[in-house]
Amino acid sequence: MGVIISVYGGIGQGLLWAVLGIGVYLTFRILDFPDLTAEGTVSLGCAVGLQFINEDISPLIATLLAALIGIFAGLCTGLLHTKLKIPAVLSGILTMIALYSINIRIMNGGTSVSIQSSQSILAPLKNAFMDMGMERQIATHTSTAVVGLTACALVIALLYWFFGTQVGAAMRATGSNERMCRAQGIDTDSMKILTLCLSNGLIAMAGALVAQHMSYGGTNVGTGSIVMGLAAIILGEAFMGKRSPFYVKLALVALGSVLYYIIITLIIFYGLLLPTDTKLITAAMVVLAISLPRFRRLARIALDRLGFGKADKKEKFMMEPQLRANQKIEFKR
Amino acid sequence: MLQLDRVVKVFNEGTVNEKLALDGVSLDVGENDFVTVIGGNGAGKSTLLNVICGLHAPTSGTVSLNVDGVEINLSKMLEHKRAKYFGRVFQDPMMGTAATMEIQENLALAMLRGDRRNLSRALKKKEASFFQERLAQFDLGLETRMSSKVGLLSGGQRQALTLLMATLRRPRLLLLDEHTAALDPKTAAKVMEITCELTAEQRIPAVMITHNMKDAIKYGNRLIMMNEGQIIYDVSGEEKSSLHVRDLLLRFEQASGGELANDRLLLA
Ligand SMILES: Nc1ncnc2c1ncn2[C@@H]1O[C@H](COP(=O)(O)OP(=O)(O)OP(=O)(O)O)[C@@H](O)[C@H]1O
Ligand SMILES: [Mg+2]
Repeated sequence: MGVIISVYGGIGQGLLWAVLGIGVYLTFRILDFPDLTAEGTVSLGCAVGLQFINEDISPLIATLLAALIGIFAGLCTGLLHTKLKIPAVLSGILTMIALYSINIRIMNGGTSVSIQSSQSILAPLKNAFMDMGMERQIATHTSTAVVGLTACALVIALLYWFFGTQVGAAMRATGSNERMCRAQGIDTDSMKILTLCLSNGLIAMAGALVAQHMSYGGTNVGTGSIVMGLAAIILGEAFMGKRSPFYVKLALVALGSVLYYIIITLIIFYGLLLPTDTKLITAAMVVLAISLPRFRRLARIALDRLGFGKADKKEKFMMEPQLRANQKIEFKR
Repeated sequence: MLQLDRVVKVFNEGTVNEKLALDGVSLDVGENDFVTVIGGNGAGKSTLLNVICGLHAPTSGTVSLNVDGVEINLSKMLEHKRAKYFGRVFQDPMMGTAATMEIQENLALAMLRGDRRNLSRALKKKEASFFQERLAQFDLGLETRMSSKVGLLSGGQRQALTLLMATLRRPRLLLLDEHTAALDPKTAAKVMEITCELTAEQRIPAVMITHNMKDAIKYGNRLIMMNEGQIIYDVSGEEKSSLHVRDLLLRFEQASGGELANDRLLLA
């Protein structure tokens, strides 16, 4: 029974963090921009969200304000990269480091803040569930799951609509082929900045939600969040088909995040490892998932060498440049 | 209509890799011109097109375009802003389309070339059937695959699609950089046929780089030969249509061969 309750809690947490996974998906997969700002942005979302709540602002508004301020983190990274031509990874790292100091300022010099659990966005739901006769822990987990699911559904619906618009299509195209975009009159710099803003807005929102769930948040919450987001994406992609519609892809990222949290919850529940070992496990999961196709390819090549399997399509393609070179000689003759 | 005035392009200025790619090129392309451009490797042909479309800023000289009687200086205009005037097709079939997007999505992107993009739907139903009609003209069977990812198309199909994208909104000038060079001869011929069809239909002036001298003679009304960043030969009309490949080879050898002799002399 205990394990089921723990897993149920893990599902709720996974849904809250799914918003981060979706944000990371926008940059890493759609824009093809490895944005490391996220680590700082999660903590920014925590700090801003909780501080506003401590100022007696409604938790819903505080969460939205956190998202709004997260947008500026993305803007900063975007400007560093497009206007000052700083490489993508470094731009993200610079903003992330700068955010560390800014976050501490926001938290009045401390590295963390906390709220009463009664102040969180989850509290009214939890109370309602308890009034309906649910046990305290179950009510907490249910309210987490409901809020997480609602947030994911709203975010997915919004993104699905947005990426179907003219601007959204231009953003997707920028991630696919920049040169073509400029030839078609798309300002690729603006599109990159916009995607980074959107992504970091979502990531800050995830930070604010998670912080309310824990009634606590600070500079350490963001640590490792990128790798966690990537783990969610990779787990989700295991279920993606080539033709999956966009909203299905986003939903699968959310599912990936849930699966990730179930795995982590189980590992901790059975005391297999210390809670602090989870980062190591996460990193190992990502490494494994990324390198799997490589191992598969190596295996296939080995099979080909031994005379099994068909010749690779790629080989045909590789011959093309030679063909091209021959055509050039025609002129030089 | 398009005017280049003493355009110089130096790459990596002031370094050991300094390269003079365009050496004072002046050129005037008219409303009714279809110009073919030939020249050896590194002659500066691609650089010429890239300076026109704004990928590279000229080191000196100006590029300007006459749009409905108004002279527009393009030299300071960014690449994506100039895109409304130029349709472009590249040598690499991968370059002109977004592989991860559908055929119709790519066309919808091209339909907005030069417009401000807003928050209305990227792909409207009415447009989708218009795209389908246009693709059906090519006889490549693409009209039945409107929602396939472009990454699944062959090089020739991609070039045909890129050509349509470049001309969907009539450009002031079509810029083609060896757009058939990566294709097999049969596909190349088909893509050339489509090129002629599209440019004739909307009377689009074009500048086409080619390494195929037969094509350079066969197509267009004007031929330019480049060598070491300069235009060394510029013919049009009757004189051009009566050219033979061996005339061009001779011209080319005179130009580059002369240089070669000089080099030998220096070495001796
Ligand atoms: N981005 C660049 N940076 C540095 N040098 C460049 C760049 N682009 C072109 N060059 C150099 O400028 C010269 C002209 O190149 P360009 O690409 O215009 O030649 P081309 O006539 O198109 O030749 P090809 O037939 O090989 O395509 C070459 O020496 C090339 O190395
Ligand atoms: Mg070239």
